[in-house]
Amino acid sequence: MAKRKSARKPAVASQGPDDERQELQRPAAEVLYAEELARLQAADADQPRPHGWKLSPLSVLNFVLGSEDLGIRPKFVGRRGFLERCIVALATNRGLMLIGEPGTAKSYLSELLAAAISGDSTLTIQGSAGTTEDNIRYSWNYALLVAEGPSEKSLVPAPLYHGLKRGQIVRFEEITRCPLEIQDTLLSILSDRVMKIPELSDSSSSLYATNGFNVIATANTRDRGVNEMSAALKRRFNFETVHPIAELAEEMALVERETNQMLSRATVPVTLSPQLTELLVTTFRELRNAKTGDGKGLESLSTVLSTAEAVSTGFAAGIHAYFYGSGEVEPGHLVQHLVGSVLKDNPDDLKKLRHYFNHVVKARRGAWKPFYEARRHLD
Amino acid sequence: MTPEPDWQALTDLDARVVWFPVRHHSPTCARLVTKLIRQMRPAVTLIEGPSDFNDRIDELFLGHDLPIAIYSYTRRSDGQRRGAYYPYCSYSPEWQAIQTSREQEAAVRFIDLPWAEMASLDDASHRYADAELRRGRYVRQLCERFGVEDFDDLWDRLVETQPDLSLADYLERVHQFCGHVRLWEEEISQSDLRREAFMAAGIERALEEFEGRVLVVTGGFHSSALCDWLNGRQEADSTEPAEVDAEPEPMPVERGIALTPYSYEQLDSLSGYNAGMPSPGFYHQVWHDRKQGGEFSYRPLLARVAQALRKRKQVVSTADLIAVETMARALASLRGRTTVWRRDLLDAVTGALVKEELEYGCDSPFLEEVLRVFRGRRRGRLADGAQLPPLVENIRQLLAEHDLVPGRKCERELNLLEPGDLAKSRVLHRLRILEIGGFRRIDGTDFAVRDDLVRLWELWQIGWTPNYDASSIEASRYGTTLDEAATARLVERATGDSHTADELAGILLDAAFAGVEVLTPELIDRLEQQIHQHGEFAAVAGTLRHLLFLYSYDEALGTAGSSQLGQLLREAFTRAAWLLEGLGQSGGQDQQLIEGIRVLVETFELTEHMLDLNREEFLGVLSRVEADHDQLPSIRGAAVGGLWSLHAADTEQVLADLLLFSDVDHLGDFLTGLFHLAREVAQRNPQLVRNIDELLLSFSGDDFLQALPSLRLSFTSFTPREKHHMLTTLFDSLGIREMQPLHALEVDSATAAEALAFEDRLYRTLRKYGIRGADQ
Repeated sequence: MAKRKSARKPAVASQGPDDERQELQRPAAEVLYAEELARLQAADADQPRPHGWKLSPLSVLNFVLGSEDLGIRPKFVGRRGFLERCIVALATNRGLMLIGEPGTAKSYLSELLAAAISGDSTLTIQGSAGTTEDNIRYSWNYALLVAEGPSEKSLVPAPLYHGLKRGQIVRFEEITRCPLEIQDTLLSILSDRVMKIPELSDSSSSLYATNGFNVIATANTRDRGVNEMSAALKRRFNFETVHPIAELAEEMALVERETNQMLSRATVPVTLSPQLTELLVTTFRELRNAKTGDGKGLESLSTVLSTAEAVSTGFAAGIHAYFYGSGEVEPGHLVQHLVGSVLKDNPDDLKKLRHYFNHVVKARRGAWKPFYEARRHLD
Repeated sequence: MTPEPDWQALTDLDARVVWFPVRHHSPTCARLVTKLIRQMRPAVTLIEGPSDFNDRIDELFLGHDLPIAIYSYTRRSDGQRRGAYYPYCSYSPEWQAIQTSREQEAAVRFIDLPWAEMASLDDASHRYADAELRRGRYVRQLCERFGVEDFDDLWDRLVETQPDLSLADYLERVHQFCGHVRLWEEEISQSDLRREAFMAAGIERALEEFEGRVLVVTGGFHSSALCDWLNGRQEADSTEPAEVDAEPEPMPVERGIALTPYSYEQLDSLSGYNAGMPSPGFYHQVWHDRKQGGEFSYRPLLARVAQALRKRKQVVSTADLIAVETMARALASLRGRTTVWRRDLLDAVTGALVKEELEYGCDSPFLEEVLRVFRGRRRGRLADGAQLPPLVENIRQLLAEHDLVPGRKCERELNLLEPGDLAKSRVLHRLRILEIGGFRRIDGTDFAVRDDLVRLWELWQIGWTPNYDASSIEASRYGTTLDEAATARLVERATGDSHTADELAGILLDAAFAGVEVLTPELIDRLEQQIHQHGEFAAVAGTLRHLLFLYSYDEALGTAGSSQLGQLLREAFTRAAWLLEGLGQSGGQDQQLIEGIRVLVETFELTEHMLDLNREEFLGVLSRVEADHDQLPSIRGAAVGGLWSLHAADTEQVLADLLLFSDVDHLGDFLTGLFHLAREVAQRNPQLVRNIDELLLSFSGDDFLQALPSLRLSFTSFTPREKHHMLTTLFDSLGIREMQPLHALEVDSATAAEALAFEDRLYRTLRKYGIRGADQ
C-alpha cells in the first residue's frame, strides 16, 4: 500500500503551520493533516475514548481511511477490518506489530496512527544493527552527570521515556533489524508498563506509564524474519500483516496518480498513460503474486515488487522518456527500468522475467505487443 | 426499470396475504416466522421450495435429524445430468415455517417452479443461496455506509445482532433492503422472472382454494415482485417469460426428487453464486441459545476454539485467551454491537494469536481452526419411512446385475482383460471411491508403479458390513446414480488448493479405474486447473507420465486414446514445458528432472500429431534450456539429447556441447542427461563414441578417478547389450576388427561364493551402523 503525500493545501488552515509546511520536504502527519485532526477532535469531543487518546477509535479509523461525509481524505488503502484490529490492539495492553514486505507502507501507517491517537508521530526509534539501549530508553548528559550526579536534569530522555511520561504512542521502526537483546528492552516495559531508572533516587527511580502509552513496531518480512524475535516479546504484541493492495483498479489508480505527481514535482511534463499504467501494474502484480491473471503459476522472484517500486519504475521511465526520448513514455522505457527494479542481487530473477515475457506477455494482444517487442532490453 | 415497490402492502400484517421475506438460513428469520405463524394463524403457508415435492411433503414430518436437503435431479436428452439441493437446517426459516404451520394446523405448500424446468436457465445448484442479495451497487454502498466489509457482515449488522428486533421492524427493514437491492438491479434474470410468474400463479390458486389468510415465505428478493404481481402492477413485464418459453430446451428425459442427508460442511463449502449464509455451526449456536429465550453467548464457541487449537498443539495460553476476549469485545464495541459476533471473534483470533506473516488469501492454521469450529460438524440422517434416495436403489440394482451383492465376507479375483470382469471392477472401484462400506481391493496389478503389467488382475474382498446402508445413503448427496456420484466425489477431491503429485495421480488413476464415463468435462476441468496451478516441474512431469501411460499404452482400462485424457495430456505437457524453462538450479533432484524431460520428449514424440502440439515452441524451450549457462550440466545434456532424438539438433551440436562440458567435474553429469534422453542415437553414433573415448584418454589418472563415479552413473542408462554395442561401434570406428571388446569373466564357483559372502557381510555391517546404501 503506498502513500498519498498530497501537496495540496487544505481549504482552511492556520497561517503558521502552513508556512512551515512549505519549507519542509516532508512534514510529519500531524502537521500535514493538522486541520483534519482538529476537525475530527472537535466533532467527537463527547465520544467515549480510551484514556489518553486524542480521538475516539472511530475517528482514528475515519482519519486513516477517509470519510466523504466528514470531508476527510483517504490516506491509506486497506481493508477496514484490518485497520479496526490495529486500532483496537493499541487500546489493549499489547503493542501493535505491523509486518509485511518492504514497500507496503507499514511505517506510513504507523505514523498516521500515532498522529491520530497521540497527536505526535515523532517519538520514533529507528531500529538498526547499531541501535543501543540508550537510543530507546534514556542516556545521560555526561557533563552534568559528573558535575551533579544522576538527576532528572542530567538524564537525556529517548523516545520510550517520553512516550511513557506523556502517555503517547512510540514508534519502533524495523524492530527486527535490532539485536535480540536490544529488542528485549521492551519486555518489562510492555508488560509492567514501568521503566526502571536505577541511577535515580528512590522516589523517581520508577517511571510509570501514563495512560495512552503504547508501542507500534514495524518489521520487514524479507530481511530477518520475525521468527528471530523472542517468544516473550512476540507475546506482548498483536501481529498484523500489511498486504499489498488487493484490487488491481485501486493499485492502478494509485500508481498513476503518484507517478504523475512525482513527475510534475520534478517539473517533467510527461505523464504515464492509463494503458501503460495497466501494463506496469499488471506485470508487477503477476510477478509479485507468482501467478498470472488467469491463474497460471509462475516462479516467484526473490526481489520485492511493491507498489512503491512500480511508482519508481514509472517515474524513472517518465524521466528517461523526457530527457532521452520523444517525450512520450513508451513500453520500451518501462522494460528498461523494470530490469532495474527486478534485478537486485539474484541473476535468476532476470531469467524468470525473461520467461515471463516469453510465455505470458508474448501471448497477449493490444498494448502488450510493443511491450513484448521491447524485450531485447532484457538481454 | 422496476417501479418502486408498494411498501405499504408489503409490510401490512393485517392484510389477507402477508409477505414474509427471508434470507435463507437466517436464525432471526426463523425465530420471527415462527412467531408470525403463531400470531396470525394462516390457513395456508406458501414457501419458496420445489412444488414437485408437494405430494410428498408429509415426508418432512418424519422426525429427521437435520440438516437434510430436498435433492432434485434431471437427465436431459443430451445426456447431461444435473442436480440441485434445497438444504434445511434447524434454524432455516423455511423449515421452521413448515413445522410451525403443521403445529398450527395450517396447510403447507411449496410454490417454486420445479427445478428441472429451470435448470437450463439457472445453474446454481444450491437453491437457497444469496446470489441476488450479494451482488450489486446497492449492497456495496450500504456496506460502505455502515462501515462493514461485506454482505454477510451487513446482514449481521441489520438483522442477526438485534435480538430484540420486533416483527414489524424486521419486515420494514428487510423489505426495504431487499426491495432496494432489486430496484438497483440493472436487469432481472429470465429465470427469476419465470419463477416469480409461477409463484404468483401458485399464490393466486391458494387464494381461491383457501378461505382464510395466506402467508408467503420467500427470499426477500422476490417478495416485492410477487406482491406487485398479485396487485396487478407487474403486467407490463409479463410478456418476457413467454418469450423464454419459445426457446428450444433439451428435454429432461428423467427427473426425480428425494430427500437426502446433508451436512454443515457442505453448507459452508459453497462459494460464488452458490454461497449462502456462512458458518452454520456459529448460527446454530445463536439459534440454540436464543430459542431457549436466553442471550447468545460466544464463550462456548471460544472455548471450543481454544480446545481445538490446543489439540492441534498450537500454543494458546490463558493470557492469549484473555487477549482474544478483550480484543473481541473491543472490536464489537467499536463496531457498535452489544454482543461479540462472528467477525469480531475471527478478527480477535487473527490479531491476538497469529504471530507470523499472513499471506494474502491464505488462512493461518489458527483461522482455519476457528472457521472449522464455526462450521460445525453436524450431519443429517433421514428418519425411517422416508423414501430412500435414488442412489441407494441404483447401487442395489448394479450389484445384483453384476452378481456382487455383499453377503458373507469372500474374495473375488478379476481379470481385467475380460470385459465382464472389467465391468465388475468398475462398479467396485466406484463404490470404493464413494467409501461405501464392504468393498476392499486387497491386491492386484499396481498401475501407479507399473513394474509388472504382464498380468492385469485385481483381488477384492467383498462382505456386508453394518455401515453399508448408512454409507450408501450418505453418498447420495453426491448424486443419484453410481457413476454420477463417483464423478462428483472425484471432482470434490480434485477441488481445492494445490494437491501433491501423488494425490493428482491418485485421482487420475481412480478415474481410470472407475471407467471413462466418470471422466466428465467437469472433472477434466478441475484436473486441468490443478495442473495449471502446479508450480513444480518434477510433479507435473510425474502426472504427465501417468497421463501418457493411460492415453497411449493402457490396454485394460479403456482410457487409451480418450479425447478427454488427450486434452488433459496436452495441458500437462504445455505446463511441464513451461515449468521446465523457468526451472532454477535445484540440487539433488537431477534424476527426477532428467526423467521429467524424458517424459516430455516421449509425450511429444508419441502425440505430436494426435494432439496437435506446437513443435516450434517445444523445440524453442529445449534449445533455451540447452543454451542456459546457469543450468546444471545434466539438465543441459538432457535438453540437447532431447533435441537430438527429435532430429532438431545435429551431431555437430552435440559434439560442441560435449566439448563444453569436457572438464572432469561436468562430463559425467552431462553424459547422464544426454544418454538418458538420446539412448538410441547415442550408442550408434561412432563420432560421439570416439570423441568420448578421446576425452577420456586425455584425462590424467587422478582426473579420471575423479570423473569416474559420475561417468559410471551416466552409463547405467544402458543395458549390458547396449554397452557392448557401443564398444563395438567404437572398435569399428577405430578400425580394430579382430579384437573382442569384452571377455567373459572367468570365475570359479568357489570364488563367486566367497565374493557373495563378503558382500553379504559388508551390507550387514553397513545396515548395523545405519549407513546409506545398506539396503541394496
